[in-house]
Amino acid sequence: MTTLRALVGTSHSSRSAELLDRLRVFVGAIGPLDGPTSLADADETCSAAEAALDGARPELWWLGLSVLSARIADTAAVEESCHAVRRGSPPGAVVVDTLQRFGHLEPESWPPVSVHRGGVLVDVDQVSRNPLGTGIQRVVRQTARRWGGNPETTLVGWADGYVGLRKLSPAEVAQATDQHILATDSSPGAGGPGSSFAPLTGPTGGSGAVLIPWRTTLLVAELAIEDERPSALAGIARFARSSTGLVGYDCVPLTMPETTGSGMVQPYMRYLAACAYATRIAAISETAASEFHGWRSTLASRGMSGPEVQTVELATEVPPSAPPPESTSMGGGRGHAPALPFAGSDIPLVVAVGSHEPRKNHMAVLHAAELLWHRGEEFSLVFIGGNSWNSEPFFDRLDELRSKGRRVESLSAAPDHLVSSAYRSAACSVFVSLHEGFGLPIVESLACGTPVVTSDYGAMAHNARHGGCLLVDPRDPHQIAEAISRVINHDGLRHKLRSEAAAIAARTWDTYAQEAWDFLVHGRPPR
Amino acid sequence: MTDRSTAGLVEASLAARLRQVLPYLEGPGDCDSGPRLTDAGDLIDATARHVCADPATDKLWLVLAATAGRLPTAGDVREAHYRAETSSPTQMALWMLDDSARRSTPASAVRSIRLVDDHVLVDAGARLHVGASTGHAQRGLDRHPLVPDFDRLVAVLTACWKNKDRYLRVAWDPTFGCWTADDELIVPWRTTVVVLGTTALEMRDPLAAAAEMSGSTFAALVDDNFPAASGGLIPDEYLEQTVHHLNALKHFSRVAALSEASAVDYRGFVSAMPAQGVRAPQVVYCALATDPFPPEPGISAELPQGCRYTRAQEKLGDTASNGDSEPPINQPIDLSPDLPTILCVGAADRRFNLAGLLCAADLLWTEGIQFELNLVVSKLGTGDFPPLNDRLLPAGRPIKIHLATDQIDLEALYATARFCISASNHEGMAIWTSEVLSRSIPVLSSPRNAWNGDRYTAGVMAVDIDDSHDLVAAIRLLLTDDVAVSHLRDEIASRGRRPWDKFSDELWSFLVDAASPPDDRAVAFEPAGHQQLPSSS
Repeated sequence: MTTLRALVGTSHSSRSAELLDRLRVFVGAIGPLDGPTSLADADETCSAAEAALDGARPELWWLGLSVLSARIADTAAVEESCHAVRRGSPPGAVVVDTLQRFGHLEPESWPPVSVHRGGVLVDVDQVSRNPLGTGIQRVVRQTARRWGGNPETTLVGWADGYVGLRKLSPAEVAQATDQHILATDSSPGAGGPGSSFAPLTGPTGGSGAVLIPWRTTLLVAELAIEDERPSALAGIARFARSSTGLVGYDCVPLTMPETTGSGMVQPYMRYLAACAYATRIAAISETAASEFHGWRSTLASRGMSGPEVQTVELATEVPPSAPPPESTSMGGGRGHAPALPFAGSDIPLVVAVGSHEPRKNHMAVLHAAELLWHRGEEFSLVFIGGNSWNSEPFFDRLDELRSKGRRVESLSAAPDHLVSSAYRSAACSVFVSLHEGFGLPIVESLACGTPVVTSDYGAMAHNARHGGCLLVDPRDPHQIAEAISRVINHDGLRHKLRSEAAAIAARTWDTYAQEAWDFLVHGRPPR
Repeated sequence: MTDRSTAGLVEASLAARLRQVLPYLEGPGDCDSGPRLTDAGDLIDATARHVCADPATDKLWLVLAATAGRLPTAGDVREAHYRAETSSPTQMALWMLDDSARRSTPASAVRSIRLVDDHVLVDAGARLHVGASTGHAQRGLDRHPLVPDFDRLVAVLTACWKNKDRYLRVAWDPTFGCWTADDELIVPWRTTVVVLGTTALEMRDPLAAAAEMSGSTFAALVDDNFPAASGGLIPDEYLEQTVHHLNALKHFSRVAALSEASAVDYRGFVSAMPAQGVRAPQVVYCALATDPFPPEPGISAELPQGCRYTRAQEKLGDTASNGDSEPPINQPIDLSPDLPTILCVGAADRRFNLAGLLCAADLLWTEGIQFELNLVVSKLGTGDFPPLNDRLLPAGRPIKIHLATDQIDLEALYATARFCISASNHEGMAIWTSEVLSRSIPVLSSPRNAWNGDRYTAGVMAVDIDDSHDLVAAIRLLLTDDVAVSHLRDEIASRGRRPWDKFSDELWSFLVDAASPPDDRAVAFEPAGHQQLPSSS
């Protein structure tokens, strides 16, 4: 039976020095147990580590295994180790046995590892890697650039393979916080007047070390479902003696799996399993909160109370979009920037923004449009959104209608200025999704003063509460058709809806970021 | 068969199916054209005229079932709705033929259909697709007299969803008093369909569409809802299946859960339904009977000495094996063991927490307490429990593993158990514990797994299964203190009875008659009395 002490004491072993360093990190993180410990002394370091692990406390085992292996420890490894110690096995031997069993004693490299205590870690892994700007990514960037200005905050991503957290490089911080937009953004917020967050002036450089959180606060505004990320997140939430706060968008893969892509259910369920150990979830709308409350109530049958769930309603402020490049004309100029179809026509324009996944219900929009075209009504319909899971039927129907001469087109990868232009050119927008956690296209359209035809329940109805919208049953194409017809054909109604939209006061990103911070970090619910 | 004769058979089958559904499409003033038409072309034209004139969702669902000989998905019905509203009858007829060719299979194209509008359909598919199991609801449903009791109350046509194809296959027909397997599509029409257990993943779309669009009322008896609460503890394939079953259930009208814990799970799920504009089903708790499950036909209540497993070898391919320490799998059961025995029925999934149980048992063996541990698991993968092969078995710990148990096996294990342990982290019902209690055997279990009213906690010692010290102390007590065991046995003996008839009656009243659900806290019991294991028929 190889013990920890024996392993560290093997002077000819190349790994003994690195292992001893990691033991010192571990012992240093938990502090002296019984009086001062000299971390310079290998024997005393081993003794202190073994003493800490002797009580079979899962949290200390999690930290110990995480630090020694430089990766967030697997829950099964923690549980097995604790069981072994309870059965009477010496902790020093159990550590070695567990590290061997999980293959962590012969790694290809020994990355530096550090324990992060105190402060607030903000996990922005996806947006630091990926420049895309879908709904969730926009929320994360707007939030991260404000939270990132707090001196307590460290923006982090994940090391390859989701083995542990790491500090971001300056370029990654810039990408995660949209700093190129920050430079042109003159609106309040982003650390401006009225914000308690200081401007994000410059990121700190990453050290390359694997970072193990301990007695800290971790905030995750992303949907963390990739690969091993949910399991690692669950380990942190469960064992790191930290507060874990998440932004909750929706529970669609659980409550409406037929509208999600193949392979989405299992990762999302692993994410929910991690959420069960979180401290707080800030749901982006009352609808999202109702889903998380429903999910949370099921935890009682496992004897778990689950996280505190509160609605922290998302911002409705639409940030200014970058102006179009001077060389790009709406009619399709130089380069491949898409132009707005049917621009300049007197025929009313209807826009539908969102990806073509089944949940967005674009087939019903096409059904409704054809009912109107079939009876002779004139209007153009433009969809703006990317391809998505199971979007083939949408494009088949689109081709079929175009071949009948219907005025319908679809744009993908449209820049923000074009989306904004489409909203402003349209008589109305249509957003009749079957289920939304929030429904950003509704507030975007209203911010442009454009009426919206939207679904008569959930977050969509909630976003329509201040006016500017017509509510319909999204499963009834006739209701959708009648609402579109009313808006495009009745000037009085359209003007009334535009006036209502113009009168809506936007909820700012500063307010959202502050309220989310107050709840997730300090447990103070929004007023 | 030649292509021509095959084509003729397909056409004749299509015509026969359309002739059956056409009368259901006609309004009160329409002439009854179905029986008069014989040609498939005429029939499809007539059908198209009807659905273009009245593109009601349920009628479109019915037509699509008939044209392809298989049940449609929601997407199929929505497409038909679009076509019916934007096409001429002639165009619609052509589309229906194209759609039929696209969706039908060689088998479904020549299949006959049976419209059921005057029977309650009981979908027992889950019973037929589960093999030997270890205490899941399916096994309970398989053996308790639920269906026969339904049969007593009203004429019932029991059907099951057949895997990988979209049709209801008659499984049990009371008219003939036997299971049948004729290749006939059973189409519920404005009736009630009761689904027992979790349907196969392949059936998720047509089941959801039928519940949402067919016009029939769907109701379900459920045992657990693990995905929401225990996503990290159950196998991925089971996770996927249950999530999609949940998706179908949201279109049901009524759901009866077998335990209060399970009802809490389902209520949590359905409370999220308004977010998607769906009227959630009513969820009630319908307590399982406390009487013993009746034995399967042919199984005697008297157990042969030294009985052993017969199906075990089929599953040994998945079994852990580690060199010197061969797990003692499926050894003959000693009906007069020298040591007190503890029985645990579960699986290798983390949800069942067998690792925690093994740890506690090892501590007690180390103390010197003598007992034998019988583990009944449905499957054991290599490396599921490293301590088992690495430490416990080489150390000679008296552990016996039983795979693929049948009722004979279980009865033998029950007969020898001093008490049973349910160390699971999350249980919807744990039917096997109910079965154990019905045999006056005490149970050690987490209090959260016993949310079934006071009557159901009689004979159950609650223990925090996450606390190893608590678990060890409780096991030690029941192994060493005869008085404690007797006390639990007395509790079981003095609890009231809840016979299967009572359970079935209440279940039927709620699921089929839409009667007010029984008060969760006032489940009907009969006075305590001597319970006998029913003899085999």
